[in-house]
Amino acid sequence: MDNFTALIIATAAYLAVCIFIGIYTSRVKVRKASDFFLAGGGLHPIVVSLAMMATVFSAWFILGHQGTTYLQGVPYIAHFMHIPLMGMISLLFFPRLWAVARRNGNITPSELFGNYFDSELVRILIVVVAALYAVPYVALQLRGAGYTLETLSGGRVTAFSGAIVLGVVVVLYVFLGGLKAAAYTDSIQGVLLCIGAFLLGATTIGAVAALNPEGFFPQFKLGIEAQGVGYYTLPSLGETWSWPYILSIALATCGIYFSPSYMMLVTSARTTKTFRWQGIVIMTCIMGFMYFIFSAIVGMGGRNIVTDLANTDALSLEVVFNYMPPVAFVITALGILAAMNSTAAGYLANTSTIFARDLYVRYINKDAPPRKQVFMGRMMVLVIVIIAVIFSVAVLDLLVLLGTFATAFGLLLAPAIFAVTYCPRITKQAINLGLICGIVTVMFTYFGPVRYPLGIHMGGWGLIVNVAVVAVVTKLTAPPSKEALARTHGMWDERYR
Amino acid sequence: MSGIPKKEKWILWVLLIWILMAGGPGLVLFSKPEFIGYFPELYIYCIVMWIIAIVIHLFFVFKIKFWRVDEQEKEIKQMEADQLAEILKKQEEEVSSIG
Repeated sequence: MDNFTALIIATAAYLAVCIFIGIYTSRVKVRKASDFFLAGGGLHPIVVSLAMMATVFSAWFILGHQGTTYLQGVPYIAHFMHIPLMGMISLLFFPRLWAVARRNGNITPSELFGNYFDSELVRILIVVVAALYAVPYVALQLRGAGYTLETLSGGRVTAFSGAIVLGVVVVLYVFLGGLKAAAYTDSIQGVLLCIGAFLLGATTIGAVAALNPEGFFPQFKLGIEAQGVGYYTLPSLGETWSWPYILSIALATCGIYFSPSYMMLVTSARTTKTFRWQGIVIMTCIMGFMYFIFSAIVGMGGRNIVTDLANTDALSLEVVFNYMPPVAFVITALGILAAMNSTAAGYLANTSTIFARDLYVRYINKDAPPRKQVFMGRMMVLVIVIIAVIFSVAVLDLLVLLGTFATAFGLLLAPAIFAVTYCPRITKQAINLGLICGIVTVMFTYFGPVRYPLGIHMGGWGLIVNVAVVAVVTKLTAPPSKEALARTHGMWDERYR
Repeated sequence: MSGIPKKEKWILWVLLIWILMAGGPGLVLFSKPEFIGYFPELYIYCIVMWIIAIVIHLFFVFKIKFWRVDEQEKEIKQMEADQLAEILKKQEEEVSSIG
């Protein structure tokens, strides 16, 4: 059996499993809205942990990081510190967020923060941030999956038809099973993408070692040295990939963990033990290993085996296509597709819920029964995909830009999360003004006369201004109501009961 | 800051120092054009910072308690079970009234 036939059979089997999970998870008794939207709040710790991992690691995990490491070298690897940082966020913030959301019956983050701050603006801004994540992420993942299929099939499957088939399958299982289907398929896909990344690293080691009779390590060093000192030392202050840029882009990347979609996955967990698993085992240990070791090996080791690469994002595909034996080829190809599918499904499931609850139920039909809400949630899946497809066909550049802004905007929710979990003094006015100033700053430091002033990423600038405004306005305004504090901070601090 | 005992606040300083060392000015200290074995010094430094992050995590999980909500979780689950029982009771009443 040749690689192409094996790839088609394996992809078909993988998609069939996804659809089966969608059908299986659709048989749920909807007594209350959270039964469908949050999988009844009963997802197993391992399922939630893997689903969170698979949702955050998109095409970028298996294509982008390796390609950019190939281009930038060690300074790029330094920004992988966002991986253990995400693990710490999971540990420090998610248990308290879970408790607040579950105790107050909040399904979406807009409900959680909107009720706590009693602010319509916060609700709407969270819906906007959710949309900013969902539309570009869904569209780009599907396009990426199509491109991957086209490359790995040697052009026998076109990018367009590949994207359509994968898109239809994702929509089908999210439409049927909602978050539960997305979480279960994501957990399987999470395992697949880890295996794919592992095989990619192992293949690169083998290919580099074959070039030198002394083995992998001497050749690896030669490849790095050949790129010059700039490849393995930091550039001067103010330049891209100097430490202010590394720190600010790492913090901005953590914005993914503050995204509305993520907070819904947090609420769906059966127990807060999930976040210990997620923080230390999945993120810091497993993903840390994948990033710091394997991405570095593929990226920097790739310098020895692939030269003059015009499109650096194609590095992983070059390794898969040219160096892998058939079985590893198929598994890694599925891992790459899984990385994209899982991200699209996660955002699709959670954002459709946010649209249904925070737009339809909040502003159109306040008394909608749970079944009607579920129906609207399913319709929203279709609406988001249609918008994503239109955007990806009409304005691809804008879509990439929106995706870049999404993480920076996600980070702007950090003070609101901090307020609900640790800092009761922060006020509604401070959060509202901080968010608006943060958004304006992010836009200005990207589109303004100087992009990334002082070598700080726009997400970093947005956070600096946001935090400064929140601190000043909090000093000048009254704290949240006693009732709001009792429902949240009162759970862990008797001063607020 | 709510719900953080004074004796546990020091870990937040450790966290801040780790952030500044792993992704901030600490990087400059080890950004030299030298190799340790077969690897650039800066890369080795990144790996060391990752391992330190694992140790900090373990400390959080086994020694620090402020982030935990174990007791609250039990109450919340009881509350959710009561709510579900109430919904089921209402549904049963509706069915029997139709019957």
